[in-house]
Amino acid sequence: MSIQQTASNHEQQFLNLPWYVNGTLSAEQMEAMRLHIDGCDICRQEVELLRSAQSVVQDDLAAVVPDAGRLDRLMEKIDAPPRQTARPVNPVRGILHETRRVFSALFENRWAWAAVAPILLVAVIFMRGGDVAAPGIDYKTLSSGERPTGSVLRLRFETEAGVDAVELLHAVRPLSSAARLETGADGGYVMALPSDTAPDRVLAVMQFLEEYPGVGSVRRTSE
Amino acid sequence: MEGHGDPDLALLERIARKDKAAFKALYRQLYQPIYQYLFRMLQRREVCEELVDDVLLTVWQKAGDFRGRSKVRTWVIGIAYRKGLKRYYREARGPQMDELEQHALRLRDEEDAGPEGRFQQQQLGVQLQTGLMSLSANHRSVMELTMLGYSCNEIASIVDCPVNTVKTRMFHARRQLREYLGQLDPRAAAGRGEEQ
Ligand SMILES: [Zn+2]
Repeated sequence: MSIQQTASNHEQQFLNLPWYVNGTLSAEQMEAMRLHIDGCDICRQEVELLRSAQSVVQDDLAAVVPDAGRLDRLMEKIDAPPRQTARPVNPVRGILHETRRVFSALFENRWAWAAVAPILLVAVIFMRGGDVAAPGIDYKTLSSGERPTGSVLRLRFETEAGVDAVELLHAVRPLSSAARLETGADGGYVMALPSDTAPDRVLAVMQFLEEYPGVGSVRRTSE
Repeated sequence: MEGHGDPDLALLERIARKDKAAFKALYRQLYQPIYQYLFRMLQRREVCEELVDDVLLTVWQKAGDFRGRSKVRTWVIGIAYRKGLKRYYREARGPQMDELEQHALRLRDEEDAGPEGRFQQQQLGVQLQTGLMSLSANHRSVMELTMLGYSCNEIASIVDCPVNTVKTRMFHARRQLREYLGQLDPRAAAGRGEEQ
């Protein structure tokens, strides 16, 4: 397409105006844009608005220099050996530890083990029938076959490639600490919220998702 | 690819080999652009300073993952974008928007009370500022990255979406900004309505 033909396409030029104003179009596109703007009042007005917005943003930019100690502190962080993260005291872990200790003792006594094993077997069979989900464990992505039980409301949406679902879930958590993310068989996602979530919270989560980069429109689906 | 002829690439390659001198050089080079971008988003000095360090620490840790699909600076601003957005939603959003809305309302009141045309120029600046802040986070990011001098392709790479999505978001951001300013949409005036 010649510069003249490109220049005559108002729609195309209007979309590209912001990058004409910031000077990042190719030389040929800049030239076509200049030609177009000469003959188009709408685009000329828009350029004025964009230039004003640009100076507002650029006037707001203070020249910043990191204070002297900042880089040193960051280098110390880099130099520090990887931290042994202190695990918070976890009651489940404590119980596991205690169980392991008892089991070790049992294995040393064959007869005691023979007596306890049938009881354990019955207990395991019984527990499998009930809800064994440990409270407080983070759901990351659940497959469609493992949807959480209990009453929930679901927000369905799709994402563009490259959206980190786990990051998205963590970003939603401040709005709804019990939010769970499920992946659908069709590649979409479902954000599941407890059904007793306050309506304004649900709206806030919906709005958050709609505004999250790369997330498409959000539909609320009933149970 | 855009990585070709990139002045920061040699530094990043050295950083991937854990060269601390190269990291210090890149830190000094990129501190300002990262800070300025984050400051536009978050408007709080301490938070931004802390986040810049966090972004650059990620650069130190992930330099080996850079695949050269964009310029180094674009890749780094992409990291800043994601970290900034997370912080924006976690902390800054609620109170900040309330304050801005209040501010915008005060401006409207002053405008109504004052003689016509007075302070108009100064007010346009302030209104544009509050107008930008009133945009949704992804519209505002695209708008501000453009105003900071990034090309459409670079923005697509930073916010990780197709180029056409950048143009669409920018189109909506511009329309919302015009509406905020109470101006007549020039396209509407011309009887054109398409959005893509
Ligand atoms: Zn035009």
